[in-house]
Amino acid sequence: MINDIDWGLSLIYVGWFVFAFMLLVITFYTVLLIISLSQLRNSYQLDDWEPYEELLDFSQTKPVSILVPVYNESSGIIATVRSLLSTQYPEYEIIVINDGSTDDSLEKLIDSFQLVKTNRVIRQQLETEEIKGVYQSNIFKQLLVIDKENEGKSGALNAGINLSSYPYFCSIDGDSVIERNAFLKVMKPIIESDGDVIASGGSIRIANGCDIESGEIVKVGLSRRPLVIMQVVEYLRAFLMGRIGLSRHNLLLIVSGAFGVFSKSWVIEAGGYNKTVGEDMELVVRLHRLIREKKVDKKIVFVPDPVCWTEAPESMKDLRIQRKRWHRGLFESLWLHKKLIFNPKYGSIGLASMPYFLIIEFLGPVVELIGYLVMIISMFLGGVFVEFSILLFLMAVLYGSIFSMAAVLLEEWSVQKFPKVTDIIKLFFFSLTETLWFRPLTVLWRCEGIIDVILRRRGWGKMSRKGVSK
Amino acid sequence: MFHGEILFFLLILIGLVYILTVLFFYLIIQKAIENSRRRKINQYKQEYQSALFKYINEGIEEKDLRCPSFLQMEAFIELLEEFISMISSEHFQRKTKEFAESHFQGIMLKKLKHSRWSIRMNALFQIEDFQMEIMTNNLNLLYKSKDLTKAEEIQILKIYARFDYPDLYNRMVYPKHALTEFEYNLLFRRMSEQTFERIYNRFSELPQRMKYSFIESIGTRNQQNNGRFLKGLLEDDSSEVRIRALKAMVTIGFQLEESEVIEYLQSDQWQERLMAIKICDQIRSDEFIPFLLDLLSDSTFYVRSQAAKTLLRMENGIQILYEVAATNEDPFARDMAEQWLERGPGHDK
Repeated sequence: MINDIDWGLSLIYVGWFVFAFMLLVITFYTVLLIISLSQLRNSYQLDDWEPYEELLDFSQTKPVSILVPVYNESSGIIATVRSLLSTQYPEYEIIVINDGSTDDSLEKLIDSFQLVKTNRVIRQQLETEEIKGVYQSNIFKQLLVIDKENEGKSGALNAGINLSSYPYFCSIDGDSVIERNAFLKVMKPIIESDGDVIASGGSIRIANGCDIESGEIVKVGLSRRPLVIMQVVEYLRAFLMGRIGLSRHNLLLIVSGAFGVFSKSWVIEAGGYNKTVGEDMELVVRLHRLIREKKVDKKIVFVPDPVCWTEAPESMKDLRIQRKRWHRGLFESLWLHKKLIFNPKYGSIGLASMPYFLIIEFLGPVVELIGYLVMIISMFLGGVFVEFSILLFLMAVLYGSIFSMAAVLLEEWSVQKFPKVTDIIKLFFFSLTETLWFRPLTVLWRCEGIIDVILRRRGWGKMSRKGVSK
Repeated sequence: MFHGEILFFLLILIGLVYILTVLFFYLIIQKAIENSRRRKINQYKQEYQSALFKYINEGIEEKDLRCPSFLQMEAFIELLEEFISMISSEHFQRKTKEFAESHFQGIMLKKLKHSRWSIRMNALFQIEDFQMEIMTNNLNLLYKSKDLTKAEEIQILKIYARFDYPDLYNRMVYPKHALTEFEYNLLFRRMSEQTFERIYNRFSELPQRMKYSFIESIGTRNQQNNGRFLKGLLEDDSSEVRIRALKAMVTIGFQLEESEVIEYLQSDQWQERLMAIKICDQIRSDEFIPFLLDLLSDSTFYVRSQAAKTLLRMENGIQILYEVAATNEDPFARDMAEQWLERGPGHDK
């Protein structure tokens, strides 16, 4: 009997811990939401073209090398390159890096863009695997393709950096569709700051459900699949709420691999991309580290305008693979730079960003999972435990659904990318159900990611791609 | 035991869901209103497009254009913005300005006083597009406001630069928010020759960043007559000033004495060597060849690449590069020569 009471008390203690954790996170997210609210609403209905117009024909607009690492992206790569070729930007080159694809990606590229082999000198500033050849398009002189031995995304990007001619580069995923004025939007803070901004990331949206023709978004729409709709909500929440708030105080640790511009000299000085699963975050942490160690005033910023559209996984299986991988990537970045965590020498990055990513982003799912377990077990114990379970559930709804609903409203209040009223209605009501199914699933997958870390499982996992363009 | 807590959180939750749902319906209604407003503006645009064009182009004013409603005015503003993005004749711009000044003053004033930053910014963009000099006093009021944001300040300064505002110099030298070189460039790009000349006369007093940008603007404005001034700057102690002066010289095509170029080809600063090679590209004297051959083995990649490109454009350049590619001891020089032979003299990168 005594044992029973102790066990019950422990359960309540654990439950209170989960409760307190959620309260902390809710407070943190509320602060981020308030920062985002004021910033986004301020720029609501700002002319879409005027702020960028003069960047187009101005000699000071820095040229950009666009790097597109490709590994078995046969279904989407041609549309991606086409969308890049119609980019509105004064001067740029596109470097596609075929990272040892086993499908017909390279052949498709050669056929579609009349590629011929050239003798380009590659400046070996970062170490990479052997380059088998460099091709240039006969139709579009600004299009280059590197064919190299498989090494992973980081190696491919490093090879692209070595070949690139321009002082800034942009990394783009092979399955992304870029808005025509994406580079103007993302380069603006870099150009205006005379280079004090050394990296800038754009907002990513989900392309499933949109009408895309020849690599261009013709109409923004919403997928019919609940799993995709929930990911749309999730992206809105992450980008509109999370990153704006963090960027405001130069605390941003993630510039999404799907679309980010970097100063080449800073990246080379930081040592280029590292062979990790989350190479994009790892590089940004390293850049922040370099900034602090060199004691200079450089910034990494986020641009809230949606600039890049990417394909989201449509099946549970693929989403699970993706989320496990993301979580492993997060761990690798945190582990490699553990020295920064709670280290006052690294200022707000050491005292705020890194602890946020460790406690809320990385360990958060464990606490949430414990919360769900406490909830379920308590339900079966009856009496006071059921009440406690209800309390935890209410907190979980606050923590998950309410913020997601707010993010959907934030989108409609400020950015307004969805033209159809029905899409907003769907997003709003789906976000209300988040706590009931989507959140527990992602929590479970992220915890699996932690198990992978413990068991030292590697590899990317194979995900199926349909390609988003018609 | 947890009755109180459950009730408390349940109430919070219901309250929040209620607030969010109300907000949601509000936004949906707003969206519907906005969509209908947009439809009306588009309809007006279609309706008045030819009448407005006729008035601007031929001066024939229809009655409907005289006292437009608020939505019609929005439609006129959009139409005029579209016109001026397509037609750049002086007559057209003068007539647009006249129309805007006589019709849009009220609406612009209202927008400039709006509490939302984006509305004020849009008005500033439109005032610049339509060159509404009549708004200068109102711009001054906004400029003096203590809540002026940096973006607003720059946009106002851009308008001042376009209108040759007398106090522009002081406002550039003592800005409310520190300006970057890029922002100074935007202003130099817009100002008239007379204002540019006035700033030229006070060059030594300019803050460092403004100085750099001024030198660069001599290049972008293609002021051939300032070549001597640039040459004088090569004596400056600051290497940054020297590099920018060389860069501006390259842009305007100002030619230095060969001996001076050779001096810069041997500079300690790679940026100076790079600019000097670009000047060689314009002079194309055989005297530079031995130095350029040396620079093919330079420690800086950009210098090696530019040296090969310049050599390629010399009279016997192709022959020289073939020899380098075949016999030079330095593998970097050989690679660079091969690459430029393949790319040909027409390439810029």
